[in-house]
Amino acid sequence: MKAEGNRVRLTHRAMTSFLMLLLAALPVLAAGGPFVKGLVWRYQDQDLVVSFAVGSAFDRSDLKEAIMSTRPVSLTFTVEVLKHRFLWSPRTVVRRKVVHTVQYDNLTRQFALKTKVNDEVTDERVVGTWDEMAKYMEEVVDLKVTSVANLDPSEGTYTVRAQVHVLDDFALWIIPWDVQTPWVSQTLSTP
Amino acid sequence: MRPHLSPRLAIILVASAGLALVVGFIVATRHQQDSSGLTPAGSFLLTALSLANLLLMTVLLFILFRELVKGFLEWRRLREGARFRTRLLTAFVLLGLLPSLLLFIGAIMLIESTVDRWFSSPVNSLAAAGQQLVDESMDLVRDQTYRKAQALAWQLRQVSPGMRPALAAQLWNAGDLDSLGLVARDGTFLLKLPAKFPEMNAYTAGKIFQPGGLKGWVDLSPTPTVLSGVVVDPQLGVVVGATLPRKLFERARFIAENNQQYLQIRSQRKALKTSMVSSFLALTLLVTFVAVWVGSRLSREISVPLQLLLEGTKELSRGNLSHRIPYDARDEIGTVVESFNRMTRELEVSKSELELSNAELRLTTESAERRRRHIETLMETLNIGVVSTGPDGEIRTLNPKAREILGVERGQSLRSVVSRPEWAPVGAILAGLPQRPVFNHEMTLNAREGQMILSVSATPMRDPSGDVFGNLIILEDVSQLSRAQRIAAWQEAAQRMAHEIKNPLTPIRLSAQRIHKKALEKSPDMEAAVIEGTEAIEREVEAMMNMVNAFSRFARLPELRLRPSSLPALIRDTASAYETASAEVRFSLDIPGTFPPVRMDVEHMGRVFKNLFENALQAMDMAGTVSISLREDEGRAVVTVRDTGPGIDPEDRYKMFLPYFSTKKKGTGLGLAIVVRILEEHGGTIHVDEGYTGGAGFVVSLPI
Repeated sequence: MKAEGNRVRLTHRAMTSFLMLLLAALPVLAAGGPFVKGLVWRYQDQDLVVSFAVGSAFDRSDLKEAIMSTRPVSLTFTVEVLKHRFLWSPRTVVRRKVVHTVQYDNLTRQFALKTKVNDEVTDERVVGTWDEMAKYMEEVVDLKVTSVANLDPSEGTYTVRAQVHVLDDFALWIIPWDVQTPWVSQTLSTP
Repeated sequence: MRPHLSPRLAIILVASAGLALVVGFIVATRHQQDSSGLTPAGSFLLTALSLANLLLMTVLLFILFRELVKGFLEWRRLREGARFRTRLLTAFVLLGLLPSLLLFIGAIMLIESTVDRWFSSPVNSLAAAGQQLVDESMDLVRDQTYRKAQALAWQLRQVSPGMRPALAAQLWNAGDLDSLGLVARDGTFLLKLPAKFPEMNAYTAGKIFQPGGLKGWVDLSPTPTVLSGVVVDPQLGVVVGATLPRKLFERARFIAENNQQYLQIRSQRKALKTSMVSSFLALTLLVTFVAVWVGSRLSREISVPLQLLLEGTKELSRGNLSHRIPYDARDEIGTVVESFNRMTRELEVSKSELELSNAELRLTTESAERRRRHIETLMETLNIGVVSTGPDGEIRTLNPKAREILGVERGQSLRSVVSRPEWAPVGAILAGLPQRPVFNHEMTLNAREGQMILSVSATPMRDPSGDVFGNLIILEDVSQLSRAQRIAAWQEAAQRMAHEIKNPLTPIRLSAQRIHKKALEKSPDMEAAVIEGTEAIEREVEAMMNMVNAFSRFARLPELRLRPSSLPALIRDTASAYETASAEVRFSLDIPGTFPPVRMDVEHMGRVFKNLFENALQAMDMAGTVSISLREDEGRAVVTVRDTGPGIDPEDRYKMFLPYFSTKKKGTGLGLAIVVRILEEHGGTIHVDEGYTGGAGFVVSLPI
């Protein structure tokens, strides 16, 4: 009975080691790629407004090819405000998801652009050049994240962080492997 | 107790998973073929398939790893059947894994090359050429409208701002332009010709006032129109529109749409490969999973009874015959296990029977051993020598008394002892045992220690079937007994002699006294008394002389002169001398016509038969039959003399041959003693014929 228990423990330990090794290899695979740049925030009209952009997203040939293939391509910008508490895990106060979608028309050679904020279309336009499209797609400007009223400075400190999901991809043929930036954070000062 | 998945449920689960994967594979493939790209549903399916693959792979790896670790641990602990099970499992896994892996690698290579071939250079070039054709056609229109806009702007700049709408309208009326508009910097239209002018948004309107202006902006609603606009002055821009020819637009759109499909599929080729590889991987994993599961189950099914059999064999080797293998199956292994259990059951029964027999045998052996010890003790304490021989006369055993009698030391062969001259008679007996197994003799031996009177008797030993397997020889040193008997006999003889001597002495004394008295009295009848007295004295002295002579003859027999002689003739001659002794006496002779000569002294042997015949006649009171027979028995001449007298008293049988023993009133008691002595000097014997009840009988035996 005792020997059986030891064997089971040994098996579980070996399996845990294997999974930890696999997890340790993930950051190596994720090295390089797009990144968040120019994360700035300000309080405007009792709102927290955030602007930031994604860098190196359009350096990827697969993204260019995807856009030029005329299928809709989206960049998803996620902004979160976290509340940090002492000896406790941070709580997400608010999450905003901005999706820039572009669809190229190979007949007119124009780029139809669309922006959704939390699944609500906030902007649609058509531009005629790659640069205009890229500029539009890369940036989130003056995004109203939350009202100042939701940020109580007496309850702890707040940070705003941003991440951009660029592309769905697969590693080693079969492993779903999203191309996305690391989170970039900034501490919020009380208004 | 480990949760156990029943085989039927496991098969159903595996079959369901396999079916789901196959259906998923077909749906995914069809989806890829039917759509121009990955729809959200397709993407979801692909992701689900990938996740399922990952899950399967993880589970498979976990199971493989677990089985490997278990196998390794069992191997290291040398658990029964672990090696066989591990080998079996490894074989099953390899059999399932290797072909699947090879097929999977082949499929990957095939998918890679096939998908890449779909988007190879010719197809790409064709698609690109089609797109280029569309682009160039559209560029022609773009350039045309842009040049027209530039020319119109130049013309408008030549007139004053107030005249520009009129000039524009005049130029549009000239019919060279499909549409024309004047746009203020703020994006408002000052003029639209025709009135149904394509819509322009802030972006396009703003473009007009940027460097380079708006060049070839295509607006597809309501009619496909190409718009180009340039600045007339900082506050005014002119837009020229050209409606695309319908056929040109339709063809361009057809080409563009087809190219879109191609481009979308090409951009999705990685996902396409992924879906195919995932599907194949799923099938590979499923096959491997099934192989591992089946292998694990089969190896367990085979190794478990094997392990039980091994344990059973070990238990059996430890002597635990009550061990049974708890395995019930109808397959061949079940038959083996059943045979094993039957064997152990029979072994257990046999063992118990054997133990019982062993106990009985032990009791019997102990009893036999007790008897053997008893007999051994008896033999050791027995005052007679007991020798056992084999059927060939070879000595088997001899007890201490026999060793003592024969003077055999431990480790010394009996044959070496009996080969000595003094033991020659015994040696002859031993040598002749196979021919003469039954005898009873008494012999006098001149051993080293002195004269020994030995009684030797032999009896054959027979097994339960009656076959003789040896002889039992009894040696009895009767020297002491004979000496005592002899002393007793001599005492009796002395008494008799004294009596016999005293008997004549009395009349002699009386005669002498009478003569003495007559002489003192000077009696007249003195002469007569002297004569009578001297006659009586002479008579008695003569009787005494006769008695002394007889004693002398017994004491000093003349030396024998042995020579081969005819025993039948001697018997006949002796018997004929007595046949006329009385009319009532008859001699019956049973003597063969031919008989081998016997080495003997005829005179002495004649005395033997005379004694025997006289004794017979006296016993019968001279009336009766004396039967005499002669036969050869095992190299000896055997003479039987029987009379019809009163016979011999059993008490006197052993005294018959002693000197001075007589049952007759006037016998000297030396007759049979002389007979015995003569016979012994001839190597012969005499004994009472105990089997004869019609009178007295004697058996004389002589070597031929």
